[in-house]
Amino acid sequence: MFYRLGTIVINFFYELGAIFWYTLTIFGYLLKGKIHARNTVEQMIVIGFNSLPIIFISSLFVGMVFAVQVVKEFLNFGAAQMVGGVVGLAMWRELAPIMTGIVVAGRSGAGISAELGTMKVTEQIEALEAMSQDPMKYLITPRFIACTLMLPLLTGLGDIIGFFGGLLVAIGTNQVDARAFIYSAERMLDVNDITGGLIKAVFFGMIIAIISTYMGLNAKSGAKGVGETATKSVVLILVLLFITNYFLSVVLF
Amino acid sequence: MIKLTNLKKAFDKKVVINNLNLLVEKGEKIAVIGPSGCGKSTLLRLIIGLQRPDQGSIFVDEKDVAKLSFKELSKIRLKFGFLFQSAALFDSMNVFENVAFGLVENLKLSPKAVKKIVKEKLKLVEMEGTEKIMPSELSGGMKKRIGLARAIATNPEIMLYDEPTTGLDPIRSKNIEDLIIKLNQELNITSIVITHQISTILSTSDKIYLMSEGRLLKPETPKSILTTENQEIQSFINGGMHAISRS
Repeated sequence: MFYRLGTIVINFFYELGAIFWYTLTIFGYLLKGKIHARNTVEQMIVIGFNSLPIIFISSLFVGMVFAVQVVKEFLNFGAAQMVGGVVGLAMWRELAPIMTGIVVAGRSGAGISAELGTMKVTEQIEALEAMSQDPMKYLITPRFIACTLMLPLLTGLGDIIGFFGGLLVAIGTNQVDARAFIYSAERMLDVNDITGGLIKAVFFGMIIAIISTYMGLNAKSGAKGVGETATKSVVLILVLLFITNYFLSVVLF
Repeated sequence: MIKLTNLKKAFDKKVVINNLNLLVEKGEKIAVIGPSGCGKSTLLRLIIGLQRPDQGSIFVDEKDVAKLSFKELSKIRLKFGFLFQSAALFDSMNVFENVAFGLVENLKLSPKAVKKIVKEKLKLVEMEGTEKIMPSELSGGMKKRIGLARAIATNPEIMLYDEPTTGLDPIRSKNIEDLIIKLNQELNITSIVITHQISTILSTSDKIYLMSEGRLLKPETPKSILTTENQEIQSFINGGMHAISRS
Protein backbone atom coordinates (compact mmCIF):
# COMPACT_ATOMS: atom_id res chain seq x y z
CA MET A 1 0.00 0.00 0.00
CA PHE A 2 2.81 2.41 0.94
CA TYR A 3 4.57 1.45 -2.26
CA ARG A 4 1.47 2.32 -4.33
CA LEU A 5 0.95 5.58 -2.45
CA GLY A 6 4.60 6.46 -2.91
CA THR A 7 4.38 5.74 -6.64
CA ILE A 8 1.31 7.95 -6.99
CA VAL A 9 2.99 10.83 -5.13
CA ILE A 10 6.21 10.50 -7.16
CA ASN A 11 4.27 10.33 -10.45
CA PHE A 12 2.23 13.39 -9.45
CA PHE A 13 5.34 15.49 -8.76
CA TYR A 14 7.04 14.12 -11.86
CA GLU A 15 4.08 15.21 -14.03
CA LEU A 16 3.89 18.56 -12.24
CA GLY A 17 7.57 19.17 -12.92
CA ALA A 18 7.20 18.06 -16.54
CA ILE A 19 4.24 20.42 -17.10
CA PHE A 20 6.15 23.27 -15.46
CA TRP A 21 9.18 22.63 -17.67
CA TYR A 22 6.93 22.35 -20.72
CA THR A 23 5.32 25.72 -19.85
CA LEU A 24 8.76 27.34 -19.57
CA THR A 25 9.66 25.87 -22.97
CA ILE A 26 6.54 27.43 -24.54
CA PHE A 27 7.40 30.85 -23.06
CA GLY A 28 10.98 30.41 -24.28
CA TYR A 29 9.68 29.87 -27.82
CA LEU A 30 7.42 32.92 -27.56
CA LEU A 31 10.26 35.11 -26.30
CA LYS A 32 12.47 33.99 -29.18
CA GLY A 33 9.63 34.67 -31.63
CA LYS A 34 9.51 31.02 -32.77
CA ILE A 35 5.92 31.17 -33.91
CA HIS A 36 4.33 29.74 -37.05
CA ALA A 37 2.23 32.72 -38.19
CA ARG A 38 -0.12 30.94 -40.62
CA ASN A 39 -0.97 28.19 -38.15
CA THR A 40 -1.55 30.78 -35.41
CA VAL A 41 -4.14 32.56 -37.54
CA GLU A 42 -5.76 29.22 -38.42
CA GLN A 43 -5.97 28.25 -34.75
CA MET A 44 -7.44 31.64 -33.84
CA ILE A 45 -10.21 30.95 -36.33
CA VAL A 46 -10.76 27.40 -35.07
CA ILE A 47 -10.65 28.26 -31.36
CA GLY A 48 -12.08 31.78 -31.49
CA PHE A 49 -14.33 32.37 -34.47
CA ASN A 50 -15.76 28.85 -34.60
CA SER A 51 -16.68 29.05 -30.89
CA LEU A 52 -18.84 32.15 -31.41
CA PRO A 53 -22.22 30.37 -31.82
CA ILE A 54 -21.83 28.21 -28.71
CA ILE A 55 -20.53 31.16 -26.65
CA PHE A 56 -23.44 33.28 -27.88
CA ILE A 57 -26.07 30.70 -26.92
CA SER A 58 -24.53 29.66 -23.59
CA SER A 59 -23.88 33.27 -22.44
CA LEU A 60 -27.37 34.37 -23.38
CA PHE A 61 -29.01 31.60 -21.39
CA VAL A 62 -26.65 31.84 -18.41
CA GLY A 63 -27.41 35.58 -18.20
CA MET A 64 -31.12 34.88 -18.54
CA VAL A 65 -31.29 32.11 -15.95
CA PHE A 66 -29.25 34.15 -13.50
CA ALA A 67 -31.61 37.10 -13.99
CA VAL A 68 -34.65 34.85 -13.45
CA GLN A 69 -33.38 33.94 -9.98
CA VAL A 70 -32.13 37.42 -9.07
CA VAL A 71 -35.20 39.32 -10.26
CA LYS A 72 -37.54 37.03 -8.33
CA GLU A 73 -35.65 37.34 -5.04
CA PHE A 74 -34.80 41.01 -5.37
CA LEU A 75 -38.42 41.92 -6.07
CA ASN A 76 -39.37 40.20 -2.81
CA PHE A 77 -36.95 42.52 -1.01
CA GLY A 78 -38.05 45.55 -3.03
CA ALA A 79 -34.56 45.93 -4.52
CA ALA A 80 -35.47 45.74 -8.21
CA GLN A 81 -33.27 48.78 -8.95
CA MET A 82 -30.17 46.69 -8.09
CA VAL A 83 -30.87 43.80 -10.50
CA GLY A 84 -28.80 45.20 -13.40
CA GLY A 85 -25.76 45.74 -11.18
CA VAL A 86 -25.92 42.27 -9.69
CA VAL A 87 -26.36 40.58 -13.07
CA GLY A 88 -23.51 42.67 -14.50
CA LEU A 89 -21.19 41.93 -11.57
CA ALA A 90 -21.88 38.21 -11.73
CA MET A 91 -21.44 38.03 -15.49
CA TRP A 92 -18.32 40.18 -15.76
CA ARG A 93 -16.49 38.91 -12.70
CA GLU A 94 -17.42 35.24 -12.61
CA LEU A 95 -19.97 33.70 -14.94
CA ALA A 96 -18.72 34.78 -18.36
CA PRO A 97 -15.00 33.95 -17.74
CA ILE A 98 -15.59 30.55 -16.14
CA MET A 99 -18.37 29.59 -18.53
CA THR A 100 -16.28 30.57 -21.56
CA GLY A 101 -13.39 28.57 -20.08
CA ILE A 102 -15.60 25.51 -19.63
CA VAL A 103 -17.08 25.77 -23.13
CA VAL A 104 -13.67 26.22 -24.81
CA ALA A 105 -12.16 23.43 -22.66
CA GLY A 106 -14.91 21.06 -23.78
CA ARG A 107 -14.87 22.14 -27.38
CA SER A 108 -11.27 23.06 -28.20
CA GLY A 109 -9.30 21.53 -25.30
CA ALA A 110 -10.59 18.05 -26.01
CA GLY A 111 -10.15 18.64 -29.75
CA ILE A 112 -6.53 19.77 -29.37
CA SER A 113 -5.64 16.78 -27.16
CA ALA A 114 -7.30 14.30 -29.52
CA GLU A 115 -5.75 15.89 -32.62
CA LEU A 116 -2.21 15.99 -31.22
CA GLY A 117 -2.66 12.54 -29.68
CA THR A 118 -3.67 11.10 -33.04
CA MET A 119 -0.77 12.87 -34.72
CA LYS A 120 1.60 11.38 -32.18
CA VAL A 121 0.42 7.78 -32.41
CA THR A 122 0.27 7.85 -36.22
CA GLU A 123 3.87 9.15 -36.51
CA GLN A 124 2.73 12.49 -37.94
CA ILE A 125 4.71 14.45 -35.35
CA GLU A 126 7.83 12.43 -36.17
CA ALA A 127 7.13 13.11 -39.85
CA LEU A 128 7.08 16.84 -39.08
CA GLU A 129 10.44 16.55 -37.35
CA ALA A 130 11.88 14.42 -40.14
CA MET A 131 10.85 17.22 -42.51
CA SER A 132 12.86 19.76 -40.48
CA GLN A 133 9.89 21.27 -38.70
CA ASP A 134 9.86 21.96 -34.98
CA PRO A 135 6.57 20.63 -33.52
CA MET A 136 6.74 23.20 -30.71
CA LYS A 137 6.86 26.01 -33.25
CA TYR A 138 4.53 24.43 -35.79
CA LEU A 139 1.87 22.95 -33.49
CA ILE A 140 2.15 24.17 -29.91
CA THR A 141 2.85 27.91 -29.87
CA PRO A 142 0.06 28.63 -32.40
CA ARG A 143 -2.46 26.86 -30.14
CA PHE A 144 -1.10 28.60 -27.04
CA ILE A 145 -1.34 32.04 -28.60
CA ALA A 146 -4.79 31.34 -30.05
CA CYS A 147 -6.20 30.14 -26.71
CA THR A 148 -4.60 32.97 -24.73
CA LEU A 149 -5.85 35.69 -27.08
CA MET A 150 -9.22 34.24 -27.99
CA LEU A 151 -10.42 33.42 -24.46
CA PRO A 152 -10.59 37.09 -23.33
CA LEU A 153 -12.27 38.08 -26.61
CA LEU A 154 -14.88 35.34 -26.25
CA THR A 155 -15.31 36.26 -22.58
CA GLY A 156 -15.87 39.92 -23.49
CA LEU A 157 -18.53 38.81 -25.93
CA GLY A 158 -20.04 36.52 -23.28
CA ASP A 159 -20.12 39.48 -20.83
CA ILE A 160 -22.15 41.61 -23.20
CA ILE A 161 -24.51 38.86 -24.39
CA GLY A 162 -25.09 37.51 -20.86
CA PHE A 163 -25.80 41.02 -19.57
CA PHE A 164 -28.36 41.64 -22.30
CA GLY A 165 -29.86 38.18 -21.68
CA GLY A 166 -30.42 39.31 -18.10
CA LEU A 167 -31.84 42.60 -19.33
CA LEU A 168 -34.37 40.78 -21.54
CA VAL A 169 -35.58 38.68 -18.62
CA ALA A 170 -35.77 41.68 -16.31
CA ILE A 171 -37.82 43.69 -18.81
CA GLY A 172 -40.03 40.64 -19.38
CA THR A 173 -41.20 40.76 -15.77
CA ASN A 174 -42.61 44.28 -16.38
CA GLN A 175 -41.34 45.20 -12.95
CA VAL A 176 -37.84 46.30 -13.84
CA ASP A 177 -37.25 49.22 -16.15
CA ALA A 178 -34.53 48.86 -18.83
CA ARG A 179 -32.99 52.22 -17.98
CA ALA A 180 -32.95 51.34 -14.27
CA PHE A 181 -31.29 48.01 -15.12
CA ILE A 182 -28.51 49.70 -17.08
CA TYR A 183 -28.16 52.59 -14.61
CA SER A 184 -27.81 50.09 -11.77
CA ALA A 185 -25.01 48.32 -13.67
CA GLU A 186 -23.28 51.66 -14.34
CA ARG A 187 -23.44 52.53 -10.66
CA MET A 188 -22.28 49.20 -9.25
CA LEU A 189 -19.67 48.19 -11.80
CA ASP A 190 -16.28 49.74 -12.38
CA VAL A 191 -13.67 49.07 -15.03
CA ASN A 192 -11.76 46.65 -12.75
CA ASP A 193 -14.73 44.27 -12.78
CA ILE A 194 -14.46 44.00 -16.55
CA THR A 195 -10.67 43.86 -16.79
CA GLY A 196 -10.53 41.39 -13.87
CA GLY A 197 -12.80 39.00 -15.74
CA LEU A 198 -10.72 39.37 -18.88
CA ILE A 199 -7.47 38.77 -16.95
CA LYS A 200 -9.02 35.57 -15.62
CA ALA A 201 -9.82 34.55 -19.19
CA VAL A 202 -6.18 35.04 -20.21
CA PHE A 203 -5.10 32.61 -17.47
CA PHE A 204 -7.85 30.18 -18.45
CA GLY A 205 -6.70 30.29 -22.07
CA MET A 206 -3.14 29.48 -21.01
CA ILE A 207 -4.31 26.58 -18.84
CA ILE A 208 -6.42 25.13 -21.66
CA ALA A 209 -3.56 25.40 -24.15
CA ILE A 210 -0.83 24.04 -21.87
CA ILE A 211 -2.79 21.06 -20.56
CA SER A 212 -4.46 20.07 -23.82
CA THR A 213 -1.24 20.20 -25.84
CA TYR A 214 0.84 18.51 -23.13
CA MET A 215 -1.66 15.68 -22.80
CA GLY A 216 -1.92 15.31 -26.58
CA LEU A 217 1.85 15.09 -27.01
CA ASN A 218 1.99 12.41 -24.31
CA ALA A 219 -0.95 10.34 -25.58
CA LYS A 220 -0.73 6.57 -25.39
CA SER A 221 -1.10 4.63 -28.60
CA GLY A 222 -4.37 3.32 -30.00
CA ALA A 223 -7.86 4.76 -30.33
CA LYS A 224 -8.48 4.02 -26.64
CA GLY A 225 -5.31 5.86 -25.64
CA VAL A 226 -6.27 8.94 -27.63
CA GLY A 227 -9.83 8.88 -26.24
CA GLU A 228 -8.57 8.57 -22.67
CA THR A 229 -6.14 11.42 -23.26
CA ALA A 230 -8.92 13.74 -24.44
CA THR A 231 -11.08 12.86 -21.43
CA LYS A 232 -8.25 13.23 -18.91
CA SER A 233 -7.26 16.49 -20.52
CA VAL A 234 -10.73 18.03 -20.17
CA VAL A 235 -11.11 16.81 -16.56
CA LEU A 236 -7.72 18.23 -15.57
CA ILE A 237 -8.42 21.53 -17.33
CA LEU A 238 -11.79 21.91 -15.59
CA VAL A 239 -10.33 21.16 -12.15
CA LEU A 240 -7.54 23.68 -12.74
CA LEU A 241 -10.00 26.29 -14.05
CA PHE A 242 -12.16 26.08 -10.93
CA ILE A 243 -9.17 26.24 -8.57
CA THR A 244 -7.51 29.07 -10.49
CA ASN A 245 -10.82 30.94 -10.69
CA TYR A 246 -11.12 30.96 -6.90
CA PHE A 247 -7.62 32.27 -6.30
CA LEU A 248 -7.84 34.87 -9.08
CA SER A 249 -11.16 36.11 -7.66
CA VAL A 250 -9.52 36.55 -4.25
CA VAL A 251 -6.56 38.41 -5.77
CA LEU A 252 -8.34 40.49 -8.39
CA PHE A 253 -11.53 41.68 -6.65
CA MET B 1 28.36 9.72 -46.33
CA ILE B 2 26.80 8.11 -43.27
CA LYS B 3 29.03 6.54 -40.66
CA LEU B 4 27.70 4.84 -37.55
CA THR B 5 30.21 3.89 -34.86
CA ASN B 6 29.66 1.71 -31.78
CA LEU B 7 25.99 2.62 -31.74
CA LYS B 8 23.92 1.45 -28.80
CA LYS B 9 20.25 1.98 -28.06
CA ALA B 10 18.05 0.38 -25.42
CA PHE B 11 14.39 0.83 -24.52
CA ASP B 12 13.94 0.34 -20.80
CA LYS B 13 16.22 -2.66 -20.31
CA LYS B 14 15.86 -4.16 -23.78
CA VAL B 15 18.93 -3.48 -25.91
CA VAL B 16 17.84 -3.23 -29.56
CA ILE B 17 21.03 -1.84 -31.04
CA ASN B 18 24.31 -3.04 -29.64
CA ASN B 19 27.72 -1.79 -30.82
CA LEU B 20 26.49 -1.37 -34.36
CA ASN B 21 28.89 -0.08 -37.02
CA LEU B 22 27.98 0.90 -40.55
CA LEU B 23 29.48 2.95 -43.36
CA VAL B 24 27.30 4.08 -46.26
CA GLU B 25 29.23 5.92 -48.96
CA LYS B 26 27.64 8.68 -51.03
CA GLY B 27 25.40 7.22 -53.70
CA GLU B 28 25.47 3.76 -52.15
CA LYS B 29 22.25 1.77 -51.84
CA ILE B 30 21.91 -0.58 -48.92
CA ALA B 31 19.15 -2.77 -47.55
CA VAL B 32 18.80 -3.82 -43.93
CA ILE B 33 16.86 -6.99 -43.31
CA GLY B 34 15.99 -8.85 -40.17
CA PRO B 35 13.15 -10.24 -38.12
CA SER B 36 10.36 -7.97 -36.87
CA GLY B 37 11.24 -6.02 -33.76
CA CYS B 38 15.01 -6.45 -34.18
CA GLY B 39 15.60 -2.67 -34.30
CA LYS B 40 15.67 -1.93 -38.05
CA SER B 41 13.22 0.98 -37.82
CA THR B 42 15.04 2.28 -34.74
CA LEU B 43 18.21 2.36 -36.83
CA LEU B 44 16.56 4.70 -39.36
CA ARG B 45 15.16 6.88 -36.56
CA LEU B 46 18.62 7.19 -35.06
CA ILE B 47 20.17 8.17 -38.38
CA ILE B 48 17.69 11.01 -38.92
CA GLY B 49 17.85 12.08 -35.26
CA LEU B 50 14.30 11.19 -34.26
CA GLN B 51 15.85 9.19 -31.45
CA ARG B 52 19.15 9.74 -29.66
CA PRO B 53 21.57 6.85 -29.16
CA ASP B 54 22.62 5.83 -25.66
CA GLN B 55 26.17 5.50 -26.93
CA GLY B 56 28.16 5.92 -30.13
CA SER B 57 28.18 8.40 -32.97
CA ILE B 58 26.19 8.94 -36.18
CA PHE B 59 28.08 10.99 -38.70
CA VAL B 60 26.17 12.43 -41.64
CA ASP B 61 28.60 14.32 -43.87
CA GLU B 62 31.09 14.87 -41.01
CA LYS B 63 28.48 16.04 -38.49
CA ASP B 64 27.54 13.88 -35.52
CA VAL B 65 23.74 13.80 -35.53
CA ALA B 66 23.75 12.50 -31.95
CA LYS B 67 25.35 15.69 -30.68
CA LEU B 68 23.60 18.33 -32.77
CA SER B 69 21.17 20.93 -31.42
CA PHE B 70 17.61 20.88 -32.74
CA LYS B 71 18.39 23.76 -35.08
CA GLU B 72 21.49 22.09 -36.54
CA LEU B 73 19.61 18.81 -36.79
CA SER B 74 16.85 20.52 -38.77
CA LYS B 75 19.46 21.67 -41.31
CA ILE B 76 20.89 18.15 -41.63
CA ARG B 77 17.39 16.71 -42.04
CA LEU B 78 16.92 18.80 -45.19
CA LYS B 79 19.27 16.33 -46.87
CA PHE B 80 16.92 13.45 -46.04
CA GLY B 81 13.73 12.03 -47.39
CA PHE B 82 11.97 9.59 -45.07
CA LEU B 83 9.24 7.18 -46.12
CA PHE B 84 7.54 6.03 -42.94
CA GLN B 85 6.19 2.51 -42.58
CA SER B 86 2.69 3.94 -42.03
CA ALA B 87 3.34 6.73 -44.58
CA ALA B 88 2.52 9.20 -41.74
CA LEU B 89 0.58 11.55 -43.98
CA PHE B 90 -0.78 14.67 -42.26
CA ASP B 91 -4.45 13.78 -41.97
CA SER B 92 -5.64 17.39 -41.71
CA MET B 93 -4.13 18.13 -45.14
CA ASN B 94 -5.12 16.87 -48.57
CA VAL B 95 -2.73 15.03 -50.90
CA PHE B 96 -1.51 18.24 -52.56
CA GLU B 97 -0.75 19.91 -49.22
CA ASN B 98 1.04 16.79 -47.98
CA VAL B 99 3.32 16.55 -51.00
CA ALA B 100 3.83 20.33 -51.06
CA PHE B 101 4.70 20.50 -47.34
CA GLY B 102 8.50 20.48 -47.60
CA LEU B 103 8.45 22.73 -50.66
CA VAL B 104 6.37 25.36 -48.86
CA GLU B 105 7.80 25.14 -45.35
CA ASN B 106 11.47 24.49 -46.11
CA LEU B 107 12.23 25.62 -49.63
CA LYS B 108 9.67 28.50 -49.59
CA LEU B 109 8.96 28.07 -53.29
CA SER B 110 6.35 30.08 -55.17
CA PRO B 111 2.85 28.56 -55.46
CA LYS B 112 3.40 28.05 -59.20
CA ALA B 113 6.65 26.15 -58.69
CA VAL B 114 5.11 24.09 -55.88
CA LYS B 115 2.14 23.14 -58.06
CA LYS B 116 4.47 22.04 -60.87
CA ILE B 117 6.67 19.90 -58.63
CA VAL B 118 3.71 18.30 -56.83
CA LYS B 119 2.14 17.38 -60.17
CA GLU B 120 5.44 15.93 -61.36
CA LYS B 121 6.00 13.84 -58.21
CA LEU B 122 2.41 12.56 -58.18
CA LYS B 123 2.84 11.46 -61.76
CA LEU B 124 6.02 9.64 -60.80
CA VAL B 125 4.15 7.57 -58.20
CA GLU B 126 1.12 7.14 -60.50
CA MET B 127 -1.20 9.18 -58.33
CA GLU B 128 -2.10 12.04 -60.68
CA GLY B 129 -5.44 13.68 -60.08
CA THR B 130 -5.55 12.87 -56.36
CA GLU B 131 -4.52 16.34 -55.21
CA LYS B 132 -7.75 17.16 -53.42
CA ILE B 133 -8.28 13.78 -51.75
CA MET B 134 -7.84 13.54 -47.98
CA PRO B 135 -5.55 10.78 -46.59
CA SER B 136 -8.50 9.12 -44.83
CA GLU B 137 -9.99 8.37 -48.27
CA LEU B 138 -6.85 6.58 -49.52
CA SER B 139 -5.99 2.89 -49.32
CA GLY B 140 -2.81 1.74 -47.53
CA GLY B 141 -0.89 1.38 -50.78
CA MET B 142 -2.02 4.76 -52.05
CA LYS B 143 -0.97 6.37 -48.79
CA LYS B 144 2.46 4.82 -49.17
CA ARG B 145 2.85 6.18 -52.69
CA ILE B 146 1.79 9.66 -51.56
CA GLY B 147 4.24 9.31 -48.67
CA LEU B 148 6.95 8.53 -51.19
CA ALA B 149 5.98 11.51 -53.36
CA ARG B 150 6.21 13.73 -50.27
CA ALA B 151 9.59 12.27 -49.31
CA ILE B 152 11.15 12.88 -52.74
CA ALA B 153 9.46 16.25 -53.39
CA THR B 154 12.45 18.23 -52.15
CA ASN B 155 14.98 16.08 -54.07
CA PRO B 156 16.81 14.75 -51.01
CA GLU B 157 20.39 13.48 -51.13
CA ILE B 158 19.64 10.56 -48.81
CA MET B 159 16.48 8.46 -48.81
CA LEU B 160 15.42 6.33 -45.87
CA TYR B 161 12.71 3.80 -46.68
CA ASP B 162 10.98 2.02 -43.82
CA GLU B 163 9.19 -0.99 -45.34
CA PRO B 164 8.42 0.77 -48.64
CA THR B 165 6.57 -2.13 -50.25
CA THR B 166 4.93 -3.81 -47.29
CA GLY B 167 1.17 -4.03 -47.74
CA LEU B 168 1.23 -3.29 -51.46
CA ASP B 169 -0.04 -5.62 -54.15
CA PRO B 170 2.70 -7.17 -56.37
CA ILE B 171 2.16 -4.69 -59.22
CA ARG B 172 2.31 -1.61 -57.00
CA SER B 173 5.16 -3.17 -55.10
CA LYS B 174 7.11 -3.59 -58.34
CA ASN B 175 6.21 -0.02 -59.26
CA ILE B 176 7.70 1.32 -56.01
CA GLU B 177 10.79 -0.85 -56.46
CA ASP B 178 11.23 0.50 -60.00
CA LEU B 179 10.78 4.00 -58.67
CA ILE B 180 13.46 3.50 -56.02
CA ILE B 181 15.81 2.11 -58.70
CA LYS B 182 15.02 5.06 -60.99
CA LEU B 183 15.69 7.57 -58.20
CA ASN B 184 18.92 5.78 -57.38
CA GLN B 185 20.08 5.85 -60.98
CA GLU B 186 18.91 9.30 -62.05
CA LEU B 187 19.61 11.31 -58.94
CA ASN B 188 22.40 9.18 -57.46
CA ILE B 189 20.60 9.20 -54.13
CA THR B 190 22.15 7.42 -51.16
CA SER B 191 19.49 5.06 -49.91
CA ILE B 192 18.83 2.82 -46.95
CA VAL B 193 15.92 0.43 -47.32
CA ILE B 194 14.45 -1.46 -44.41
CA THR B 195 12.36 -4.31 -45.71
CA HIS B 196 11.21 -7.90 -45.44
CA GLN B 197 10.36 -8.23 -49.11
CA ILE B 198 12.89 -10.34 -51.00
CA SER B 199 12.17 -8.73 -54.38
CA THR B 200 12.73 -5.27 -52.86
CA ILE B 201 15.97 -6.40 -51.23
CA LEU B 202 17.33 -7.85 -54.45
CA SER B 203 16.28 -5.06 -56.78
CA THR B 204 16.99 -1.89 -54.82
CA SER B 205 20.33 -2.42 -53.11
CA ASP B 206 24.03 -2.89 -53.73
CA LYS B 207 24.70 -4.26 -50.25
CA ILE B 208 22.43 -6.23 -47.97
CA TYR B 209 22.91 -6.35 -44.21
CA LEU B 210 21.14 -8.71 -41.85
CA MET B 211 20.47 -7.28 -38.43
CA SER B 212 21.00 -9.78 -35.67
CA GLU B 213 21.17 -9.20 -31.93
CA GLY B 214 21.52 -5.47 -32.42
CA ARG B 215 24.41 -5.72 -34.88
CA LEU B 216 24.77 -5.84 -38.64
CA LEU B 217 26.33 -8.98 -40.08
CA LYS B 218 28.89 -8.90 -42.90
CA PRO B 219 27.11 -7.49 -45.98
CA GLU B 220 26.09 -9.58 -48.97
CA THR B 221 25.38 -8.48 -52.52
CA PRO B 222 22.09 -9.29 -54.31
CA LYS B 223 24.01 -12.08 -56.10
CA SER B 224 25.95 -13.52 -53.17
CA ILE B 225 23.02 -13.50 -50.75
CA LEU B 226 21.28 -16.31 -52.65
CA THR B 227 24.29 -18.61 -52.24
CA THR B 228 25.56 -17.39 -48.88
CA GLU B 229 26.86 -19.86 -46.35
CA ASN B 230 25.78 -17.75 -43.41
CA GLN B 231 23.07 -19.78 -41.68
CA GLU B 232 21.15 -16.78 -40.31
CA ILE B 233 20.96 -15.06 -43.68
CA GLN B 234 20.13 -18.35 -45.38
CA SER B 235 17.20 -19.07 -43.09
CA PHE B 236 15.89 -15.50 -43.46
CA ILE B 237 16.11 -15.61 -47.27
CA ASN B 238 14.76 -19.16 -47.48
CA GLY B 239 11.87 -18.18 -45.24
CA GLY B 240 11.09 -15.28 -47.54
CA MET B 241 11.37 -17.48 -50.65
CA HIS B 242 9.21 -20.12 -48.99
CA ALA B 243 6.56 -17.51 -48.26
CA ILE B 244 6.68 -16.35 -51.90
CA SER B 245 6.38 -19.91 -53.28
CA ARG B 246 3.43 -20.64 -50.95
CA SER B 247 1.62 -17.50 -52.04
